[in-house]
Amino acid sequence: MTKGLRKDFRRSIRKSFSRFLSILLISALGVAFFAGVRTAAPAMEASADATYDSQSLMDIRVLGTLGMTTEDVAAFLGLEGVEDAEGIYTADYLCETEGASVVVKVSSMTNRINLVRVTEGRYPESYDECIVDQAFLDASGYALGDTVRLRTGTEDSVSDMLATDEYRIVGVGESAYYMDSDRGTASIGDGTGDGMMIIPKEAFTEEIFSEVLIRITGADTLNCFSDEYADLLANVTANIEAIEQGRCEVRLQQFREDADNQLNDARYEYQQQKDKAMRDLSDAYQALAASEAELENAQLEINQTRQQLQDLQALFDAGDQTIDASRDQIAEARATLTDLEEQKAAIEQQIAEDEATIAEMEEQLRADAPYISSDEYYRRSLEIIQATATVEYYKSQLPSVERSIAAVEQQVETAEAFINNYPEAAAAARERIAAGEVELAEAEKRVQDGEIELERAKEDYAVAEEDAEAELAAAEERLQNTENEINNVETPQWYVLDRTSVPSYASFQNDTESIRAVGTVFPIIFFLVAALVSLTTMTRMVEEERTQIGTLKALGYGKRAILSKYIFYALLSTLLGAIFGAVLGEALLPNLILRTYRLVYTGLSETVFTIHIPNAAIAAVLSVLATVGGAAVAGGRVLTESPSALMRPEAPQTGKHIALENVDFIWMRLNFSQKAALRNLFRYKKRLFMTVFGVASCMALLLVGFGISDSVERVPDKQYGDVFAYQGTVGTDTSLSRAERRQLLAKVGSVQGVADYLQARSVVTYAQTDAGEATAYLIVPQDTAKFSEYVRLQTRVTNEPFGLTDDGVLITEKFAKLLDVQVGDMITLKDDKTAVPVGQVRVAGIVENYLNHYIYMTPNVYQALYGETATLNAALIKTEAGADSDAVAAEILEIGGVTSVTMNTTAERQVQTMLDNLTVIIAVLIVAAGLLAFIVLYNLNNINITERRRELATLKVLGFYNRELAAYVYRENVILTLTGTVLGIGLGFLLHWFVMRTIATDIVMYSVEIAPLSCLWSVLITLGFSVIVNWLMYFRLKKIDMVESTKSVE
Amino acid sequence: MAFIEMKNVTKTYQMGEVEIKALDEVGFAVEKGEFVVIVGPSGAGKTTILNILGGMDTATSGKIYVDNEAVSSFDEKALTAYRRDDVGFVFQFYNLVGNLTALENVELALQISKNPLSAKAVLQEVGLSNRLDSFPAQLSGGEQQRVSIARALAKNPKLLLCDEPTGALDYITGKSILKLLQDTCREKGVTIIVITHNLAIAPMADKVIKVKNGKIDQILMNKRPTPVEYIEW
Repeated sequence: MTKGLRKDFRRSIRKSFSRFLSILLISALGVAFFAGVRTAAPAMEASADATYDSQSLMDIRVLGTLGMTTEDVAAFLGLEGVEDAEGIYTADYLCETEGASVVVKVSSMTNRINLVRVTEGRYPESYDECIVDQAFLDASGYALGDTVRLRTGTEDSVSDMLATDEYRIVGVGESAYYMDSDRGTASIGDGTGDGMMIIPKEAFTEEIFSEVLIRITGADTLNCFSDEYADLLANVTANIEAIEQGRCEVRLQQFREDADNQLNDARYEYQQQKDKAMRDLSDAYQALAASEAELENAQLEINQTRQQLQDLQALFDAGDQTIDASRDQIAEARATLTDLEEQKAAIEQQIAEDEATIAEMEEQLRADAPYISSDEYYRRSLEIIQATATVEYYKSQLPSVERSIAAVEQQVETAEAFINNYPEAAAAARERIAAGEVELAEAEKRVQDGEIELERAKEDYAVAEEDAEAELAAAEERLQNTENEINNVETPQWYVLDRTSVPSYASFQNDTESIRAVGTVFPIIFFLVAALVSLTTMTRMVEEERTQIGTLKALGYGKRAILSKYIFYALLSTLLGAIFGAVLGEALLPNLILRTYRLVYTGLSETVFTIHIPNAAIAAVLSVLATVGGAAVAGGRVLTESPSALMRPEAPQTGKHIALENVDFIWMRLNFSQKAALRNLFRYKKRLFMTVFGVASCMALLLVGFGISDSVERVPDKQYGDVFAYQGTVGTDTSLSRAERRQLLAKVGSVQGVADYLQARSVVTYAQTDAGEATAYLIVPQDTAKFSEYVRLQTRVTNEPFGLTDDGVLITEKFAKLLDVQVGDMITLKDDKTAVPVGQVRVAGIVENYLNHYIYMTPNVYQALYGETATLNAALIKTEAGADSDAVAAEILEIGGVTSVTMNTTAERQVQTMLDNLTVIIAVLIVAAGLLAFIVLYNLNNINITERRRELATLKVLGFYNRELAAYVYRENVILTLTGTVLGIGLGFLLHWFVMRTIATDIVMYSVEIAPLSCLWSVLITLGFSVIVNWLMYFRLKKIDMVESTKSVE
Repeated sequence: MAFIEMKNVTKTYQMGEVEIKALDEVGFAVEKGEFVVIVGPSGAGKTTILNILGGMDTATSGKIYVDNEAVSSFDEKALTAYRRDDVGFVFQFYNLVGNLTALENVELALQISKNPLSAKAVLQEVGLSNRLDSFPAQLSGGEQQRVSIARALAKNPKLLLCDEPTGALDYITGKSILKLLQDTCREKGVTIIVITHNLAIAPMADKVIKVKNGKIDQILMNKRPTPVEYIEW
């Protein structure tokens, strides 16, 4: 380049700085978007990896069906590739708060792996202290310093595992394990974890670890989303699995011993309890007998009292008669008395007479004694003795008479007394009888009550006896079951899980993939448009300067020298723009995207920004190629013309009739302006193409943005609204007897809000074809006919319904795709435990489904395939409309024998939360679309107006009002925009299809659809952008100087 | 009052710190139906006069009356209406819309005109009845200028302003265009003002206004204008 050319070069940049800047900015935007979005996914991964590593998140966690032992930990530590291993205890508990219960995922504090970052407060120091996360505080309403109380939510007691059920919150922390709001599933409450709680190891009374956390040697230097990491992980996983068999056998041995000991203890306890129960029962029986005897005695007493009272009454009834009789008796007695006294008097008189006679006789005798013979004397003495004896006899009679008199007198006296006392005595006696009767009534009532009570007590006793017997029987059965279980316990199994089992990992990976998908397609479109716009601008510049080119050529400058100006101009502006854009884009966009995702992944504590040179370089090189190439091609074309031709104004492009003019019936109907507009469109083909392409891209970006949201958002809705007509799955204990199961299900059925249920077998199983292997849920409904009320079995597109028959199995669509099978093909099913193939089964139908994979099978097919009847282990439940599914789940979980409850609403919510993250992508796309529309439309309109300035100035001179002038230009824009919009719809649907294919994961089948409303919004936004740009252009139109029209063509 | 009167019209441009006087107290009058030629060297201010007279530019000071209306006091909208209804403009480089045929270019002007003539008739009058469907690029310079004149005339203007109408044409074609203008003036009574730097054209005008350094140098009246055919340059 000569000095003059260099000066010209510098000046032309200064003079047309806005053009220089516009190329710079457009390429900056294109590169920024390209490099930025493509760097976002790696940056997200790097940030997550850094966050994981900063808290020493485990690479592998091993769960055993019988827990893990310290010996297991030691065994892991000895394995190659294992840097560190640590056992932890985990358990789910409920924590009651006002109005609700919060499900908290409790785990023991670790020292080296899965560290918790305390953001407030301190680490627990005592066994009754804990750290919780913010999610727990939010859900429960507790604060730092509060004491929380845990509950198991089942029949078990907290003390089974923990030393205390009360913990004081001494710290608030974050764990990389829970980066977003997902706390995983739980076996209690509504089935989902609400918060995290970390308590010291000492708080757990268990000896057997719940799981062992493992860190892999050298893994922290690798990105855990990378293939290298996956390889390393696979190696170590293989090492772990290699020792599984041996360790598990040891564990089984140990478990059996422990269990036997425990069983013996339980037996002993049972025996004691049984004895006690028996004693209690017998005591109760004796007490019952005693009270019965007592009652009988009381009854006897009552009867006696009653007899006495009756006698008394009888006496009184006889009383009046007795008085009369007494009176008669008295009269009689008095008569008798008189007689007796007369008798006595007569006797006394007789005695006196006789004694006088005797005295006379004695006198006589004595007087006569000497005078009379002895015989006479004797005879007369004898007479005296005889007389005396008679007197004596009379005298002896007297006392008896006197006694009789006295007796009669006594009689009279008694009778009189009786008559005198009778009224008083009678009254007293009556009173006594009355009182006696009241007493009697009371006593009888008591006895009656006693009898009722006794009856009750007897009933109670009967019940207690029955209960005790049932309880004892149950306890005995339990013991028996436990014993059976212990005997039946199989060799435990390990579950070797990697970071994909971390709740936030999968959704984060999903989001990263989405961003990556966006980064694969969109920046290219964006970039393409930017490159095209730069190219147009460069071409335009070359054409504008054709006179100067001609002059230089005439002056003898070589082609290379002339061309170098344009090439350097393009190179400089584009390269500067590309560098600027690369730095800005890679610094800003991933930052912006990460910042937005951190709203969701609050635990993402580290943010790493990687400058991805290849992305920037690709973008820069492509931009430069496009612009410089454009300049070179346009310049080269111009340079082939002769200097004289160049210095003359370019011959105006010949107007052309367009094909449409031959279609009379349309052309004739158009008014003049429409015709002019149409012809103009085809005149400026480059602009036509660019505008249509730009608008179509904008439209397509918007459609894809909304479309991703539509397709993805509809998944839970379709799955849980359309396909699944049931609302939840209840897992039941398989060890239950038929009767227990029936009882359990009756309880489930009677839970408030449960409308119906259907028993089924539900297991995860493996299926295989030549195309590959995949896992699916195998559902065997007990009632095949009823099953269609629970799951809509039909094809997706044609809605052709299927019945579940013994003809074969129904499998879901995506599953069929993964296995590459058609209706009528055979698939091999494997045992869900041993993974040994059990047999082949025919695919009878492929049904619509969006989330996860399912195999539906009748019990008969199951039996034929597995050689045993399907053990029912679940029940699908339907809830009543409007039922609170959380409450239903919580209530069902309280039922004994229920092992799990999964409500579809919970799953739906989880999926929904994950999908809500897509908003970021949609926002990015809408912003991108807007920028694109602006860049393209503004630039092209600008060029359009600049190129046609003369024409527009002429129209102004001819007297066109500004709005007429605008209409003249806008008519073309409107047609182009509308065409672009229509094409954009097609392009959008195509791109959307492509993107959905890219982001599709194995378990989800997105319904590739864009809602009419989204189309409408996309159209409105596209037209809106167009309107804004055109509105801005109006001011440029107004500013066009009419004097331009008088100037010569440049 | 004359049909057109310019009184003390001054036009200054501010170029940075320098003030350039394009017109300095210009004043002249044109009668209805007159054929006026404004002549002067490049940069004398001819085009500025035409622009101001045509309502494409405004004067810094002074009065312009056209058909008793004070054009100098029009606002932008009134000026646009003035341009569309009262003025026809013929450009040096024809300024045809390349994408429209001859007929359509005329129609372009007609569709906004209040009182238009038939496009085909006017094109016939300018001698282009056989080129109606040709695009400008398919027409010669003279033909293009004829289309331009037809476009201006079809609006049936009170005033036809021509800016170097022959400037880009060869001698013969230029002459035929001038003849067309002169005939139009004579036959239709349209007031025509032509600006040119070619003094040789001056004899064909009714009035010749010579401009020099933004001032009126001289105004000459031709009692008997020379027909174009007799003019040579």
